[in-house]
Amino acid sequence: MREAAQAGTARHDGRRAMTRAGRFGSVTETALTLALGMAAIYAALLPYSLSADRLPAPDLVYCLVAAWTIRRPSAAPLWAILLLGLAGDVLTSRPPGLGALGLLLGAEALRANAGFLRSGPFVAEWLAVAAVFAAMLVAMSVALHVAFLDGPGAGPLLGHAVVTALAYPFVAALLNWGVGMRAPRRPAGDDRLGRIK
Amino acid sequence: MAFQNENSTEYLRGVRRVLIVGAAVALTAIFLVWRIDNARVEQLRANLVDRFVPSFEWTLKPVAAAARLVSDFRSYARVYEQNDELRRELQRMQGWREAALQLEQKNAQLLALNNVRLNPRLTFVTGEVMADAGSPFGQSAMVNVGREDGVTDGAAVVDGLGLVGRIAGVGEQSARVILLTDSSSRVPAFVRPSGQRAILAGDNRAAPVLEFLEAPGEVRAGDRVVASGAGGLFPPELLIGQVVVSPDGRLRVLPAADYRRLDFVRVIRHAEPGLVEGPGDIIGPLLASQPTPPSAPAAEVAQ
Repeated sequence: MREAAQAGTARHDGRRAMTRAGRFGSVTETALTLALGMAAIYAALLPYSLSADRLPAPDLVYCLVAAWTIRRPSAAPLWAILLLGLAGDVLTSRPPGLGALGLLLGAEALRANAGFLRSGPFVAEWLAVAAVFAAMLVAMSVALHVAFLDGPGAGPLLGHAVVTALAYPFVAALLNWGVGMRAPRRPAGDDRLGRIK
Repeated sequence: MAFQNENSTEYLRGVRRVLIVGAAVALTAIFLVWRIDNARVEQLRANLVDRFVPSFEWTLKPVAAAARLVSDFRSYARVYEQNDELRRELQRMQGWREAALQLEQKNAQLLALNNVRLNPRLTFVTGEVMADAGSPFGQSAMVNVGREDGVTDGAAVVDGLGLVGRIAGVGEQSARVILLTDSSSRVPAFVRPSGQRAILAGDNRAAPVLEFLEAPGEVRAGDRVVASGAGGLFPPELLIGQVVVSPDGRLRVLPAADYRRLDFVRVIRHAEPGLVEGPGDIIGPLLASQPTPPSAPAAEVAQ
């Protein structure tokens, strides 16, 4: 039993488990996530229907950044989020800078609570991501109104938020099992209350 | 809790905070610059898009076609009802065809009587729609014709049925079309039977609003709306759509263009009528303004 315990602590040292990269290694992971982000932006550009009452498309870039920030808060660099945000703004028809700012602040809000969200059930994480996205959309609408512009109405934005929230589990699953960014395991040494397991 | 140790000192966290604030300020500055000097930032956006998006044209079109195939498949289930509808519509169209033929003959007679030569200055270039807006914050499309094909900023874009929008931002090989439904689109229009002028303002819904009507009571649902040539923005008499009354009582226009299946569009190249400045060098060199003696041109030719 003691050998088993020692083997356990050797394999799941707390700090080392947290910074262990996924299947590929941290630089490749960043590159892969950036590539997925670019693919998400291009997916948003597909000319499926140009009618104004089409089915709203999910914001896959936000889902990707949220899942990445929650799973690897220390390895989701600021410049990558900025790059994805600005590229998304410029290539789609958003006001440039607005979407990037929303993405940055949303990612920071999620990063601050990343540990708490990781340790809970997935539903908590999902709800938090959806709530942050809704707050982002509200803030962007307010910014547009302050600048005397007419943004999209509440209807399309609500549809957008709902569809994005529905798409989040799929994106998180892709990052989890495809790229291997699993939430780090709790070390077998002690649990949250300090009791030795 | 051992595994929540962020492994960063207070100093790094402070640096990070400064970076975030700096980035937020920079992004707000970009947004303000866009708000103030829209045209230049849109031109920059068009150049960037021109560099990056057309190179992925080979992926955009097939995937969109596949997605549309899936949606068409759903409508195959209603084949019988569609057949019925189509038959009824065909009967209606027969009647219109007769009327159109008669009008065409009458028109030809009148033109011949007047000896009118219609304005040949409207040429167009056909392009394909490559990408759509990509976010709910705007309604626009990207076409694959640009400055090389003679597209200029502000040109009108039509599809086979009616006005689609206006060009804003031209790259070398691509251009962005702001659709009529975009919230920043304002088009001067003419409501046909009553002859009133109005402004067609988009508000991100499927049917843009008619604003600044002088006598809204005279406009009925079903009236035709065409582009007026006010301000030289658009060539006049381009069909825009029909008037509908929305549930909230406002007068809107249902565009004649089919936005759901926008594939090929025409960008109208409206040539400016040039100012006549000089005598117009047609054949020979420019003669001096005073009447020259006839020996001088002969001397030049002999040389």
